[in-house]
Formats: sequence, structure tokens, C-alpha cells
Amino acid sequence: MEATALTGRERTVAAQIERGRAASRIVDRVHHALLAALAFALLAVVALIAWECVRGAMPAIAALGPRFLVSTEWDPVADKFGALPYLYGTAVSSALALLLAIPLGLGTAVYLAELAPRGAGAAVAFVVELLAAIPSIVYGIWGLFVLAPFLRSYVEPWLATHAGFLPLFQGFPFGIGMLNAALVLTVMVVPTIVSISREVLLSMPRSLRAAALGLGATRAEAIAVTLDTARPGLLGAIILALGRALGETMAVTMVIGNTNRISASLFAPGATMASVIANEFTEATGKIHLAALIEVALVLLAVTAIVNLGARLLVIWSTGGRRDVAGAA
Amino acid sequence: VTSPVQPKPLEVRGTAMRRRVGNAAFTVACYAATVIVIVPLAFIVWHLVAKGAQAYRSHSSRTCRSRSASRAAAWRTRSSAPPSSR
Repeated sequence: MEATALTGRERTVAAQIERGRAASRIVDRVHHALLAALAFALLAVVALIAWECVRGAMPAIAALGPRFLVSTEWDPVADKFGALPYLYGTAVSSALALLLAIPLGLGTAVYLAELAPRGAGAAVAFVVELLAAIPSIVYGIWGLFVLAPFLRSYVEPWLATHAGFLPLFQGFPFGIGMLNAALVLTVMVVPTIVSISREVLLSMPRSLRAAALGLGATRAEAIAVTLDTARPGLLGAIILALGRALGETMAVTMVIGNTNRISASLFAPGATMASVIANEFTEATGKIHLAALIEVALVLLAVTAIVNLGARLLVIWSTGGRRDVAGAA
Repeated sequence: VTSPVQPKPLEVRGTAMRRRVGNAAFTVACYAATVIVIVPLAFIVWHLVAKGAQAYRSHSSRTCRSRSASRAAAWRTRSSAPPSSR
């Protein structure tokens, strides 16, 4: 009798456990399905954006063909459009900004993570992260009203006098142009590089540095060991900064001068893909003009995707495909 | 028990002086990078705050002046009006 009662209780408990397991399985499946749906929703959003860009750009693609990418003519009245000056402007301003921002950003990150006193490092890092959140229009205003007069009066004349033999520093010092845009972009992307690189460096095991110091390495050599291990994460920081530089619109539009001209001089005005869209989209009334601007957006999307893909491949190459290193793809 | 594998000597690049100079240069470069980054960013914030505060002060003083002027005008109108209209 006792055994039967126990068996009954056991059976009840087993049934309860089984019901609980079934419920857990259902919850697991729902959770999995929900996460998969969210992941695919993101993919769908990107695909829809690309589809809309292709659909909107179709009249320009049909009318202009591949000439659009190599032509320098941009004449909305005659319906002649070429995006080469904008591609050039985007590439040059972003490359120059990264050229300046990478050493500055990585140097600052190393200082904050490895050299600065703990309190000072945290305070400076807080300020730098705060600056990463400043809207781009504020940087644009600063570039237009403070940096442009300074460049026009002091920096560009000095460069023209002392390095004027280079094509980069020839021409009239306008203050507004590619140099101004690159400097504003540098100031904008440096906080991104600093904050991410600092976090990556802080996440590195201290034993790496301690081991290097124990083997007789100098402080710089020990930091170099840490930097080598943190390379994938640092590359990630640089890629994010490049993404911001490529797509930056408002600040660049305010300081680049907005001319569809390719010039070797950094003093000359230019334009980027984002700036031409911002400038002309509200005024584009012609069908081909509107489609050409959407095609510029499509090209910008493609450039960003290619850069991200290249960066991902670079990270995989630099880590040998391992995922156990900081920031690995 | 000793390992049969002989440890490799530590690879040292350059003389002690060269390494010391490299270390100092690296440290100075990191400090300089921080200063170069912080100073323009601080300058931007300072400039925005200074200009913004100046504009705010001038705007608020103008607003105060115009308010007090309109109050004075209203008081003058009231006091000069005939008693029947008060």
C-alpha cells in the first residue's frame, strides 16, 4: 500500500517534471524563433534599403549606365550626371581623416589604458566618450566659424609657403575645402577610436604585460606585446571610425565647399557622396536627377559594404580565423 | 628533471641605449597624442560654451530690457489715461 502511494507520488512528480520540460522546450523554441526573427529582420531591413535604392536609381542606371561612375560632369539641366568627383571626395576626406586619426587615437588609447594614473585616465576617457556623442552639426558649426578662418589665415598660407612645391598644398587658401573637411572628420572619429581601443586594451590580460616586463622588456616593448594581441579589436575600432567618416554628412557638407571638381590640392573645395545628397535632394525635381542622387546613395552603400567586407577579411587574416582573441570577427 | 629543449635566448632588438630611447620616444608620443586629441576637443567645448553663454546673456538682458520697457509703457499709459477709463 505504502509502495503504491509512493509510486503514485513519484508518478505525479515525474509528470510535473515532464510538463515542466515540455514547457521549457516550448519556451526555448519560441525564444530561438524570436531571436532568429529579429536577426532576419535586420537582414531584411538592409535588403529592403538596398532594394529601394536600386529601384529608385533604376532610371539613372538605365539612362547613364556605367558612365555614371567615371564621368565628372554633373549638370542637372542637361540631365548629365557623373559621380566620380564625389567618390574621389569621399575617399580622400576619409583616408586623410583616418591617416591623422589612427596614430592620435591609438596613442591616446594607449596612454589612457596603460600609462595614465587610474583616476586621470578614467576622467579623460569619460570626457572623450562624451565628445563621441556630440552631434555632427555642432562639429560643422565649429569647422565653419572657427576652423575655416584659422586655416585660411594661418595654416594654409604657411603650408603653401613651406610645402607649396607639392600639388597637395597649391592653390588659393579658402579655408573651406578638403583639408577642413578632413580635419573636422579627424576630430569626429578620434573619440570613436580612443574609446573602443581603450576598452580593448583594458580587456587584455595584465599577465601579457607582466610577462614581457619580467623577461626584461621595456615599457614600450611590453605595450607592443599587448597591442599585437589586441590587433583585431583595434582594427575593429578603426573600421568603425572609417564607417563614420565615409557616411558623415552634415559636418562635411558645411565645410567642404560643395564643388563637383577633382583637384589634387587639399585647399580646393570638393564634395562627398553624402554631401551632394544632402545638398541637392530637396531641390531635385527632374526624374533623372532624383534617380542619380539615389544612385549616389546606392554607390555609398556599396562602398560601405565593400569596406566592411574588406575589414572583416583583414581581421580574419590577422587572427588566422581564430575567435578567441579580443574583438575577433 | 630538466627539459631537453634548450630555451632560446631572448631576442633583443638594438642596444640598451637604443631601447631606452625607443621607450622614451614611445611614451612621449602617447602623451603628445593625448594632448593633441584633448586640446582641440576641449577648445570646441570651450568655444561653444563661451559663445553660447555670451548669446544667452545678451538675449536675456535684451528680454529683460524689453519687458521693463513694455511695463513702463503700460504704466505710463495707465497713469495718463482719464480716470473714467481706469
